[in-house]
Amino acid sequence: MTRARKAKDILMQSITWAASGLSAWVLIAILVFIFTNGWKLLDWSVLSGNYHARNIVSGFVKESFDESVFTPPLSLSAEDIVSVKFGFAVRDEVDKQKNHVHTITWVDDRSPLREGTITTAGAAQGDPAPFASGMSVNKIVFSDADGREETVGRLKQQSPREWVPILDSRAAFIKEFHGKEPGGGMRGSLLATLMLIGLSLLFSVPVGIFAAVYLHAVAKQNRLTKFIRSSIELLAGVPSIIFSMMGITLIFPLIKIFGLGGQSIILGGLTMAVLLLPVLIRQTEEALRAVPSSYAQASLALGATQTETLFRVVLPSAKNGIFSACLLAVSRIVGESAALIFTMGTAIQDFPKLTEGSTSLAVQIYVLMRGENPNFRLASAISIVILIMILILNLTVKIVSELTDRKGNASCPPRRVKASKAS
Amino acid sequence: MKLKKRFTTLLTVILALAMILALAACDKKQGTDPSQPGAASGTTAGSSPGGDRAIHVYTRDAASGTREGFESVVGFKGKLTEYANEVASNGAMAQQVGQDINGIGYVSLVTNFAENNLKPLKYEGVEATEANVINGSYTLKRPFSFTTRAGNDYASDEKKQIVEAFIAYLADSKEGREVVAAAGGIVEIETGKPWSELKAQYPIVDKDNSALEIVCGGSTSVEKCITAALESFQGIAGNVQFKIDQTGSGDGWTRVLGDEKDGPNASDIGFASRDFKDTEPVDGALRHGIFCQDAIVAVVHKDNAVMDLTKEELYSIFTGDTGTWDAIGR
Repeated sequence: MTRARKAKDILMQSITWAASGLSAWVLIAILVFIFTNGWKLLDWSVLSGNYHARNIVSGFVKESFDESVFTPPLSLSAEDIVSVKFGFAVRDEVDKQKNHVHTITWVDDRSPLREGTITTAGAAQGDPAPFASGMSVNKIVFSDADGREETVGRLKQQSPREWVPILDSRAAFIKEFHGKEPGGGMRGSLLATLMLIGLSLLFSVPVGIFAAVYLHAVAKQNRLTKFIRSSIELLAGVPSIIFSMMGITLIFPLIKIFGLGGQSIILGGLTMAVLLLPVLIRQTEEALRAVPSSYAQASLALGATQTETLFRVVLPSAKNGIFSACLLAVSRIVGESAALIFTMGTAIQDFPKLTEGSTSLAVQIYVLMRGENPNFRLASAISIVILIMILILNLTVKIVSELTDRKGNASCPPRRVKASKAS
Repeated sequence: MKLKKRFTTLLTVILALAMILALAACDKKQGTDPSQPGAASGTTAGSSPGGDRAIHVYTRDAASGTREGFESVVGFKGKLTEYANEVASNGAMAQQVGQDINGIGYVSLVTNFAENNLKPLKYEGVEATEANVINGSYTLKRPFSFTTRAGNDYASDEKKQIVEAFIAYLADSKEGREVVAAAGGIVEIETGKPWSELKAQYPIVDKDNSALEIVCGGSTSVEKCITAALESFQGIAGNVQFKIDQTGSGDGWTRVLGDEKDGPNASDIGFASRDFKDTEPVDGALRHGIFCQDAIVAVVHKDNAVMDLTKEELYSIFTGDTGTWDAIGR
């Protein structure tokens, strides 16, 4: 008997262990995968940089330059190909977007290439063009001693080992320099995600709170209320891609009246707001339910009306719970992609605007992973940022709910009750 | 209590071991280096090439331009074997075939074969290279087509002019073709005209165009070429802005000339990684055409012994007539 019970005990225990171990293992496996792929890439330039490489086209006025031989610093390695005539070094690299680039690793202060001015029409035309380490060379157009024009560089499908010697031996002076600043950053998507969070909360939090107050305190507990509550529950289970379709077919014509055409962060924010409502209503109602009924009774006994009691006593007491509901909503926004693909589009923008389409961080990962050569490294780097955001949000929720618990135990009602009495 | 403790320790050790093993396997797969042959062949040990093995056919979804191109050249449209595994992108195709010793699929030439454990196959004995596509000997290829909106269907005259200028740069100029070629597109550069000559017809490029935006839609396969072309065009066309919203060849025509041309996804230039179909009339467009070509390459796992396949062999494999690698006889 005891042996059989012991065996059963061990079996059941091992099942619980295996189950929890499995889920922990999955999380660790995901973390290891993402960190091994993306950690090396993740630095400040990825967080704050442009996704699209800014191309710089500069022209040169001088038709000759002081002939001098530049000496490269000793820190350069064998992979840095040096142009002693023009005072710079380049290296063949694969950039964050998985493209081959010829990155400039050294520029002498007196390099004639520093004298270029931007030729692109616009506000910056005529300004000194940047020519610095970190940029890369697309092509260089030069003129030889007989005045013939020639082009060398990456766009000519030459490696630095091929084109730098050609430049040094034949160029009399340089006419045009086509370079680009590195891309592959996530700043645009990060900003768009923050805008989306702000807008979605702006639209959904007031509606969510009032709806929760209605269901909790105002509504009669009858069949209609039951129906509304179960509709909200059901709404929480609707797949987000369906909200996306709703956004494009129902909300889009609505905001078109206000002159907004096309996909935009506003459209995405409105769609996300609808998606968040069930979460917010449910969590807020829970928070309201957790407020001891003695608070409301005391307020009513002191002569406050039902509305005053609700908005000045019950709601403020539940504010921590509502705050954690908002934080949970934020993590939902950060992780959402399906609801945004149709409403905000899949075009990565470096300078997102509220009235134009853009990608959130999660959608940028989707964009990076499609196509012929999925970019695992950059996608993993973005995943790390998303995971860190979610981690911070979850920790905040935990801390806030712990604070709420403590407050609940120490039977001291919020100070605002006094204020409401006075008024 | 003592038993429980011992049991706990045992289980922890087992779990830790399992975790380390799995992660090691994971790392091994990720760390596959093309310079280390056989690094990833651990999973395929035992199934020696040449054994009696069933062929696993992989295909793209019906909206894919790659599939359209492959099926029309090999000629098995509508006859694809029902056992084919459908994948959603060329990247996924490369990954899955690279993990399946008996798999066969098709991808674009720009795919990184080594990274995905793939072997590109010769078609009719001809290797898939840019040179062979340009000289016409490699026939398993597809065009990258474009079409613009109808001639009078632009938000402003400036927008129309900048779109025209970009198309001229992309399709006609030497410089534009160079950029496309460097991004993996196959195009003859030397027959292009210098941009310095062409640009005289498009005076808009010498103005400040930072308020204008060119919106592209359609095929995802063209994304790399188009991004590179637009990034470089920005520098020579007054900082014009652009938006690249690629969702698939099917949307190329729809968002420019079709149903969605006035919807939220409306685009200025639509791309397809195939010719536009009869159901997609582009006659009304300001300009339409082909800006480069792409080779489609039949691929197998790198440990597969097959080196090249003829059109007939591909036909019989993809229609399901030939079911095993033995029947191919190589």
